[in-house]
Formats: sequence, structure tokens, C-alpha cells
Amino acid sequence: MNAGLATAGQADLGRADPRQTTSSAIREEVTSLFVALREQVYRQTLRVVRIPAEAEDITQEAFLRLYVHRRKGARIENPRAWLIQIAYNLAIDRIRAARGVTLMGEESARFAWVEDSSPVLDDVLVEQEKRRSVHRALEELSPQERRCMDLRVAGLRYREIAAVLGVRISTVQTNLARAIRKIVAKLDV
Amino acid sequence: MFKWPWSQKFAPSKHPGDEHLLAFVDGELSGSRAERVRKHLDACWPCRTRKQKIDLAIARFVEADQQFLLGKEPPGGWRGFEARLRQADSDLALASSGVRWFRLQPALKVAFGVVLVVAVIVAGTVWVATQKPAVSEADAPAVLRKPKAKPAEAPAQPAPEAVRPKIPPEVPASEPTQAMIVEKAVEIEFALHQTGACLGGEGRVIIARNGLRVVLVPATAERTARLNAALATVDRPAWAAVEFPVASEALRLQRAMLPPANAVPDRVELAAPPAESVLREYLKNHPEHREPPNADTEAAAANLSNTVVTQASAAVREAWALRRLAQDYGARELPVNAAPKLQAMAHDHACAIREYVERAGATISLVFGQPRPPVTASAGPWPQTVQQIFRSAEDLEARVGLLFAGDASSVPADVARRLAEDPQTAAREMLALVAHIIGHLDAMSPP
Repeated sequence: MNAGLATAGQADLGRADPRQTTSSAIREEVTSLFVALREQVYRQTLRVVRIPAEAEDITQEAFLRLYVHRRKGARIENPRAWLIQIAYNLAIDRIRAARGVTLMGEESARFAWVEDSSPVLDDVLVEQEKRRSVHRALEELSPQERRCMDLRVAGLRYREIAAVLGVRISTVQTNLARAIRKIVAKLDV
Repeated sequence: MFKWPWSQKFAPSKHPGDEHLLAFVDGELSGSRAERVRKHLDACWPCRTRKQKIDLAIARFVEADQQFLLGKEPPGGWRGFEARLRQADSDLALASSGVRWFRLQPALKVAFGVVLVVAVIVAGTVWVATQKPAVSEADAPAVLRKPKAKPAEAPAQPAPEAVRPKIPPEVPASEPTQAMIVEKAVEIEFALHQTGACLGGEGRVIIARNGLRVVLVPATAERTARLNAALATVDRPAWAAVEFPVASEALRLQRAMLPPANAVPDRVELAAPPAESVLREYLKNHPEHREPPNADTEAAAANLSNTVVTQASAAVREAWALRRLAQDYGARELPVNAAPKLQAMAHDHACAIREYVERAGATISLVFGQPRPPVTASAGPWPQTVQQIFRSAEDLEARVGLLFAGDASSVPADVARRLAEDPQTAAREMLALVAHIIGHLDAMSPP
């Protein structure tokens, strides 16, 4: 549904004058954006929080914040980037909040929340997956390296990744290159 | 002496570093820098090999990412967004009426955060508590009663075993191994598969840590009987529970079990299906292809449209069922008895998809006078292939719906306009999709 990105991005928000726009017009605008962009934002959030229900909740929250922002008269140049940024921040906040309670100091990048109706991978199966080289390599990635890779696979440019993470572009480059190196090292070529 | 022109390119200082090479691969280098790297790669085998390894690493990461995302649709189906907007409206109205809402907000956020965290703990504890025993001793008799209900009345009993109780009450306390659970799950899936439960989202087997649950949402009482009969053919230990959820929960589960409806925000309204005139013209000149044979051109065109639309939808349902199998079992190592059953189910769905899209493709090719493009097989891991098949089947369904039924609800506006204005190109694209799907089906090999 990438056609939605072009039409539902600049054009809709650009021509709207915040002072004149009625709340119903803003609502229509945000609802359009929601339908066009929610899958993208959802997938990116899912990569971070790993739990579908949480990712869905965070995605909706991000669009809600967009709505409130617009209702208060703000103009947003690039809604897609804005939403991904907000959703990412919300995801990190949610993880930090949960960590303190459920993991009790565990530093692993896997978050020990329980999933709802999807099959739970037993330890045996996790071991099986680990034997697949790429998964072993992914476990070795630092959280920062993994974040950069997740944002990159979502289609963000280096500059955008740097903006979301609040780091320099060179940091993004270094992290991506390191992550790739780790995966290459584990490739069974 | 004669200086080889390419000796300079092998100078060590010209080899791009890892970050530089990756930036090149990602299209992040400026024109001239990218050009320099490209020229270097043309000449330097070691660097070209490094680039290939980068490409491979990226491909593996993308694979792992897609496998992770597979089947993880938002469980709530995006419901509740309207309600959130309404709540925001009333909050904003409150704010503008002078209440110091924004001052309160940080404190409220903290309070909300605490409530949320507590809710997560509570939800987690409740979930863990419900997961521990798949079926408790007290529940076993109730579960047993259901399958016993009807076999005694059925006139032609294939075997007397259908009537016997499945579980002796004194089940040993030892827990089943994961292999046993997976094997039983596939066995049950196979039994349900014979009744077509997978296509209508009527049955789902959910594997848990120490057992499995069979969730059944039958459409009619007659279907309930059929599903129970199918389950009765399988030995069910205490850790394999069967559930018939209550009506409201059933509706939610069924929606979660079926292919999602992909609606677009700005749909185009069409006066008539774009393929209608082409169809009518074709059937006027080829009365031997009318169905039924004595139908007039309009009726025959409508029938043919219906047929193609039905075939495309059926292909999506089969692809959805196939994908669910890949999602639930694709990453697992299967016990010896389970693999053939899984292969058989996957084969059934694959054959059905192939037949539906093949027939639809044949009709489109005939009517539009477009040749069938060659099928190119492309192998890949089973879950990824299946995901591609599903997405392509959905795409095909959306296009067929647009062209033959004038239904643009699943097609973005600009694409809809383009297809409607040029049905011949639309037909070519659909035929390419058909070839794509068949290519993937041919190359597919389940574990």
C-alpha cells in the first residue's frame, strides 16, 4: 500500500491551514494516514517490542498523538518519519517500564513477556533456531546494532535512522557495518 | 616498459572499507564516490567477493526478519482507534474549557504507567495460570462428553472405536515432550483438514508449552457434528484440550483466523467492471464458450466474471490456510509421523491454489487474447515462499475483483484508475501474477 505514502504524506498536511482546519477534517486526515501507514509503523514497532498486541497498541497510540498534535495546530512535514520516531520512543519506554518489573535485572535483548495465542517456542525449538547461523549471529548483536538493522530493514535511510535513535550518522554506519560483519562471520558459505 | 592500466586499481589504499562498501550497497554514497567504488569493484575480485558476502548477510537478515513477522498480524484488527480519537476529542474539549489538563498530564501519565505495568503483571500472571495444566483432572470428563455425543446415532459406523472414551481418568502426571505435542497437533490438524475446517477459519490448533488446545468455531450445528466426528478419529490425551468458545469470543477468534480484509482509504468508484465489454465481445464471437450454452451474451459474461472472481477468492483462502501451516509448523523440527501429514496438507492446499489460479489465468488469457508468460521457479525457504504466494494471491484477487466485478475496495486509487483505463495491460499483469504464483508453488517444498 505504498501508494498511500505519497498521497497521504505531504499533500494532505501541506495544504491544510491549521487555523482553518476543522477537527473533522483533521480526523479524516489522520484516519487516512492511519490506514495508509499503520502496517509500516506496526511492523517496525513489532521488531522492537516483539509482541503483536503491544505493537498494535503502541501504533495506535502514535497515530493518536499525531491527531492531538494536529488538533493543537502543529504542522508535520513528514508524518511517516514522525510516526516512526514516536512509535519507537513509545516502544522503548514500554520496554523499560516492563523490564523493571518482569525481568529483574536481566540484560538480554529478548523480552520475557508472554505471548497470547501464538505458539510458544519451547527451549528445544529455540536451540534449534540458534543452530541456524543467522540467529546465532543476531544474538551477538548489541541492542544498538540490532536497532540500526531493524530500522534499516524497515527502509529508513541512514540519516533517518540517526534521527530516530538520536545519534550521528557515522554511528549508524559503524553499527550497521559491525552487525553485517557479525552475520558474515557466521554465514556458512 | 609497458604499464598495465589496471595495476593502479589494486593499490591497497583504494579498497573501500567495510562501512564505505556497505554505504555503497545501501545507495548512501554520493554520485562520484559511488562511481569510484563501482569502478573498483569491476576490477577487484576480493572486494567484489566482500560485497557479495554483504549482500548475502543482508538477505539472511531479511529472511530472519520476514520469518519473525510472518503471521503476526495485529490481534485486535486495529479496532478501537475510533474510540481513542473520540476520547482525545473529549480530552481536548476539556482542556479548552479551562481545566489545567496539561499541567496534570505528567502526573497522570505516571499514574497511567503504573496502572499499565500492574495490568501487564496481572495479565501475565493470569496467562501463566491458565497455561499451566492444559486440562485439569476435573475438566477431563467434560471434554470427553462432547465427542461421545453423536457417533451412536450415526447409521454407518466405519469402526466401533469411534464410540470409545478417549482418555482413562488415571492419566500419569508426566508431561508430554514437545515432539509428542507437535505430533499430536499435526494429527489433529490433519483430521480437521479433511473437513475443510482450515479454509473457513473453523478450527485452529494452538501449541502451548505443555500441551495443546483445539479451538473450534463451527459455522453451523451440522459443522459442529462434522468437526466432532473428525476429532473422534484421533486419540486425545488429557493435555490435548478442545474448546468451543462462547459466541462473542468465537467471533473475535474467527476473524483472527481468516484472511484480513485489505481496504484502502480512497477508493475509486467504477461505473462498470472494466473487463465487461471485453468479455461480452469475446463471448459474442465465441458462443461455444458461453456458460450455460444457451445463455445470452450478457448472462454468460456475468457468469464468467463470477467464476473468475470465485476462483481468485478461493485461491486466497487456500493460500491463507497454507500460510498458517507454515507459520505454525514451518520453524519446527517435525517428528517422523508428523512430517508426511504436514506435507500432505500443504500439498492439498498447493494443488488447490494451483488449480484455481491456473483456471483463472486460462480464462483471462483466452478472453483478452494475451499469451501466458512462462513460469519461472524460484526456490526459497518454505515460510517465505508461502508468504509470497499468499501476498500474490491477495494481489490477484484484488485485481480480479476490480476488473471483473468493478470492486475497487482493495486497490489503491491510482492503481485502480490505471487498470480500469487499460484492461489489456491489467490482463497482462494478472497473467504475470499467475505465472509468479505457479512458479513459487512448483518450487515449494515443505519440510
